[in-house]
Amino acid sequence: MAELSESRAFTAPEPGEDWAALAARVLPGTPEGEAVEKLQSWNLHLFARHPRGQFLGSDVVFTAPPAA
Amino acid sequence: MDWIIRGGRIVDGSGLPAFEGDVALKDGKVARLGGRIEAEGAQVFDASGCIVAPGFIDPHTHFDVQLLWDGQARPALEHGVTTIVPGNCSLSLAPLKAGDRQRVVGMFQQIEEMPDAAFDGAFEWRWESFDGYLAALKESLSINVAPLVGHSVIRLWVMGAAATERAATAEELSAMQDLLAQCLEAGAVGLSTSFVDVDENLMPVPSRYAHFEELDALAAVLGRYGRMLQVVPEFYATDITLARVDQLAELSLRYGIPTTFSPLFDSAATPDNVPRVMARVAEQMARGAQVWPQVQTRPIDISFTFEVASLLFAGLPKWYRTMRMGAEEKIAALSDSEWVAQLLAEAEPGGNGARWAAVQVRGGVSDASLVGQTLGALAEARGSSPAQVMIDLSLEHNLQASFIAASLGHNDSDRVGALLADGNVHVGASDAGAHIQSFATYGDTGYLLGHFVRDRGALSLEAAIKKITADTARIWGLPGRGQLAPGFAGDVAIFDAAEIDRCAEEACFDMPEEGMRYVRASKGMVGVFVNGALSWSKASGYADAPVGQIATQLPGAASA
Amino acid sequence: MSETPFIEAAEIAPGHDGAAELVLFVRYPGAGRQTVTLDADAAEVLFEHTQTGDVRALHGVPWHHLKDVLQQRPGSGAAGGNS
Repeated sequence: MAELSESRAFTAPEPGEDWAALAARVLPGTPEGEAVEKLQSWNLHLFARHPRGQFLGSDVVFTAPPAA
Repeated sequence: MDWIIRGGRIVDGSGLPAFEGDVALKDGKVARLGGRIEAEGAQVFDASGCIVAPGFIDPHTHFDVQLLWDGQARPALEHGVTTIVPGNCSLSLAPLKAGDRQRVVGMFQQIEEMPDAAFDGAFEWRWESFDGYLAALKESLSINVAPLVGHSVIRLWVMGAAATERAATAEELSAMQDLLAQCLEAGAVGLSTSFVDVDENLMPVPSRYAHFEELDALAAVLGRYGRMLQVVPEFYATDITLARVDQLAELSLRYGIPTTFSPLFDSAATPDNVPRVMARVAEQMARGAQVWPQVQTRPIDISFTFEVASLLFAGLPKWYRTMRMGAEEKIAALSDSEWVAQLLAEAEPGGNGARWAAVQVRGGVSDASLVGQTLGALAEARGSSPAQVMIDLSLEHNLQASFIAASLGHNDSDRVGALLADGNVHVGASDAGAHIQSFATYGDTGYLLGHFVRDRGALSLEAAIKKITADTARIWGLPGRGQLAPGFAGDVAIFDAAEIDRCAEEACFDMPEEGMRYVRASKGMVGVFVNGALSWSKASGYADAPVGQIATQLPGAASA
Repeated sequence: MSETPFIEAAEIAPGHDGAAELVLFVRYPGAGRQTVTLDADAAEVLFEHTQTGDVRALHGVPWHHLKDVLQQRPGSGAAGGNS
């Protein structure tokens, strides 16, 4: 199978997860406040729709900033 | 033989070069083609000077409701479209419990802009199951239908109010899988889901509450039947679309299913969007995944009135400020010569009104002859300027005059033409039957064949026809359709290649209780056969021929 | 280069549903960029916040400012409208 080029990392929220829980899962070792802030800055699309800033099961949540 | 389509140039949908000859139809199917065919007693359709092609297949429509009172899906049929896929974007009218009907009607109204009359009394709602809905459709169906089942209604059936509250339990997942299997057995062409749509309260539709595990479980069922997964991705953000491509590829590879996402647009604001998405699609296709981006042929227009503040004016601070005023204050400002002078100076710097000259009057005016005229032409006739005419018409009609700025997006013919020609692009995304009170979603195939094939040479006629016939049938798994070959369905579009196009958009009052919608008539289409029956012709219009079939099944004999 | 993501540019673009949309280009440390698309209601709140109707005035707005404004606004759904 052909190799894929590198792409921006993302995850999907797990049932019941909020920002802090998701941050602990995808950015372990980073202080919670800092991790949540990073994730939110990378996922502004989740604030541009309703419900604002809350996860829906089908959401794409980026776990890295956009590539240069 | 029942029909001989005489003397046309046959483009059979395979992509091979066109050839001269007759096409004979018998018992709803193509019996023979090529050369001169004689058959005693057969009716003859004169196709001399015309292209004879397989009927077109539109893979992204919302005709779910309209089909219940208009089995011809007007005006799709007169554009040569003989097979449609309704049920896109997570919404279908079945399976649906009686108690949930109003909920789904609200979603349809939000998405399709269907008036209440389209549902109340326009048809008898006597089904809950998917096969019950298909039975109701088949009573007066004149076009072939390959219906998707909507993820939102499946979720609603199994979870009720919790469909918009939480993740599904294991038991609920299992029930959804069983329900989807029933729909596929009944004739559904696949499952549709949406990551962007909202209901009448502007809240997410049920499918958006589903976790990926749920989509995976449903895709597993699709895999048992080799059926399609259609999604609406966040088409306004490249990185998210790329993530969706990867998710679809994962499901496609895991379960061996075709997937499609729609729409994919080209935009001058984000010119790297299409190249990045197509590069990822190519990578995933090379791995064996089937992830088909649907690209519409027509450009995007923006319509607006002075009643509501359109972002079209956001680059003009004085205008935007004016537009955001209350109605009385706005009318006062637009009546103030000093204020208007400042507006004109901003909109037409140096007296140059070129930016507004091509904007057309769309409606909301007392003089119907103004509709369709450009502000430039009206300005010339009135000795005024385009922006001044726009202000005058708005004032004269209590801010109700409406305007349309045509071709503002997905409008670079070089870029869109190359995209449509890409082997990994699925031509579709017409949205026919939706947004009916905002713009016309009909005639995209005419625009493809007229603008991109004849006028621009972006694709050969054979390649373009293949894209909207055989390719579509193959991608969606529609047996016996999409080609002119012996044994295939007698779905035929006959048109003048020099004339084929779409007509101008017009307001039409043919909805139940004379509700308004925007439509486009066909241009250059001469005749359309569905399952061997002449269903529309330029000479006689629509025929009462309820010969439509469920296109996931092998073509059968026409019943009329 | 700012250490905080910020709105680098903003443009009006046609939306799929026939309405104009506001496309924000957010620049990140390390030079990555992504778009955030707003509908008319969200854009209006943002314009009110910047006390202007000019897209150029949005340039330089930091990401958390944008997030706060969006989170506080009442009303409608996401940009992009319905499918």
